[in-house]
Amino acid sequence: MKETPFFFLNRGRRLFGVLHEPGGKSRREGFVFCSAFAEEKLWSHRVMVGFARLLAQRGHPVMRFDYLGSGDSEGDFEDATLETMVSDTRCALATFQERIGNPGPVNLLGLRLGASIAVFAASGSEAVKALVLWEPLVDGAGYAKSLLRINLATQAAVYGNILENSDRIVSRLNTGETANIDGYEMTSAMYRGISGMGLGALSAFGFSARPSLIVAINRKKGARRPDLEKLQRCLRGAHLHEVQEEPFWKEIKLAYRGAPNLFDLTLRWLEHDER
Amino acid sequence: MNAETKPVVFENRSGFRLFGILDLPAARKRETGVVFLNPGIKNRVGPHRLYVKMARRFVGLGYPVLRFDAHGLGDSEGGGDENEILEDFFGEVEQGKFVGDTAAAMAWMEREVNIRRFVLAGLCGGAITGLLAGVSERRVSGLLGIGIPVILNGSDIDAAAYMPQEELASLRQMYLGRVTRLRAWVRFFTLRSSYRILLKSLFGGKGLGRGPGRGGSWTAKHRECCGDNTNPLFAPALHRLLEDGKRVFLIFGGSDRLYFEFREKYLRRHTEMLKMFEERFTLKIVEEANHLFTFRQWQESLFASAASWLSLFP
Repeated sequence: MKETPFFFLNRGRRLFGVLHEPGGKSRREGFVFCSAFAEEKLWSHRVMVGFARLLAQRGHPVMRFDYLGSGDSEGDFEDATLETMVSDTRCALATFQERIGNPGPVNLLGLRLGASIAVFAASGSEAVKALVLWEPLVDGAGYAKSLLRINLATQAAVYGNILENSDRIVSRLNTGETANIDGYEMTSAMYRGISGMGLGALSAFGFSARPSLIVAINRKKGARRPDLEKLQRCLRGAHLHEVQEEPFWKEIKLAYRGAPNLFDLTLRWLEHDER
Repeated sequence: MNAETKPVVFENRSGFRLFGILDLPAARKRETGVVFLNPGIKNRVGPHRLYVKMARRFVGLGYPVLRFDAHGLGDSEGGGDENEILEDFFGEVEQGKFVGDTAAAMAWMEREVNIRRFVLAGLCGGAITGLLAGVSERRVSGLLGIGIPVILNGSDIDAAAYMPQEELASLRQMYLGRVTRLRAWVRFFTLRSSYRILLKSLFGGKGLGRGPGRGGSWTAKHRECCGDNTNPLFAPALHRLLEDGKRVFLIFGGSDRLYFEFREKYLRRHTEMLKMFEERFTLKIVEEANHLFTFRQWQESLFASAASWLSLFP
């Protein structure tokens, strides 16, 4: 296996990527990974690296990349919107095809907000063959509120109480200021983009039928996930499965390097071609 | 002319490929390079891209900057795929797990970029790695430690038994402030409260903790050294660094519990010793800031004071 870090250009900005190429000549279908948002990306990083390596060992070339203003890419977090994230993903797809020398269709794999971005990026794109959506975000408004709660929790921990509530933070966002989420300065454009991201938007984008795997990642087995069931109904051709794993995209008591149940399920879906 | 940013890969002593990003200033003005070290299990960008933001400032001052992932972290090889208890991982870092990788990074910089003097920089686990790596390295001129841990973590070490008084006082204030809140009582009666910590903060006393565990990272040496969960490597390493003429800049958030630990378990015990090194040792507290310097104004304060200190190096 060969791993190559590199920069590529999208709209004149340098984005960071890593290409995982399998050894040997036989190549299977490729993957581009869409990472989670803000600090969730950092907590889940090693799991994404681990799965990229596992796929590459099995003959699949994989590319991971950082969106504008995240990871090692150029720009500041404030520069990013959902639109730039989708644009970055499409550019990563084209870059990946060029680098592996194969213009054939590619699979997109995303985690959390990255899974939603994968749905948007796949829309109308001939380049995307299948979607693997790990714990996709369906309720954008709910997610946006949870981001604001992170700010409130920081205030409470430091000041002992909340000096600025969610409504005031949103008012400030509306006047062009940013909201601090775990140290990231979220703009109004990003907040509005995430808030407006619901089932309707996702299903409209994902309307062209393509094989899709939706994975509900539950801490306890058997938890019902009506949000993902609705998404499954909206994305034609989608399979919904559940796995038991810790929520490795946030701070937990384990250093999560691999998600064996999640990896096994995804590989089974890919290899036994449930599609 | 713009600075140059490029991905780099080099090997550590075990043959694992380590991945990093090298920032080179447009015009080489400085002889000293800065190496950022992983904060805990997070990768080379740091929480909320703290290292990226700092690297951009430092390269703007003319310093070459390397941010890299130690083995088993970020994009780098090694480390296996077994999940591990976070506290145990922190304990390994606090005992020098990544010292060898830091030496490999400096060796690579020396070979490829012709840099022979270094400032090691990092938050939390990155700071303690820098401290321990700096001791044995003639190439290290300084340490920039942000929120450095003075204690030793481990699943067999009961941190609650050795909480600093300031942290207990802060928790006491928080618990008392919640007495009238229904949600707090719901947590209490649904077994979701941390009862030991709650009792300890309200009534104090050392008897409420479990005390040191058996085996693992907790050894007889630790008990002999400090009688609590202080990292026995910390003070000797810091003193050695200063004795060797290296500069040390430690910066903490004023509300960071690691600062409380540092004050109680290092500063109060070694005040006289530090007086000998006033010229080389700088301590800066950013009022109210938390461990990660989350809010922008805290970050600005951190960046400004770190840049000012760094300017001491050629």
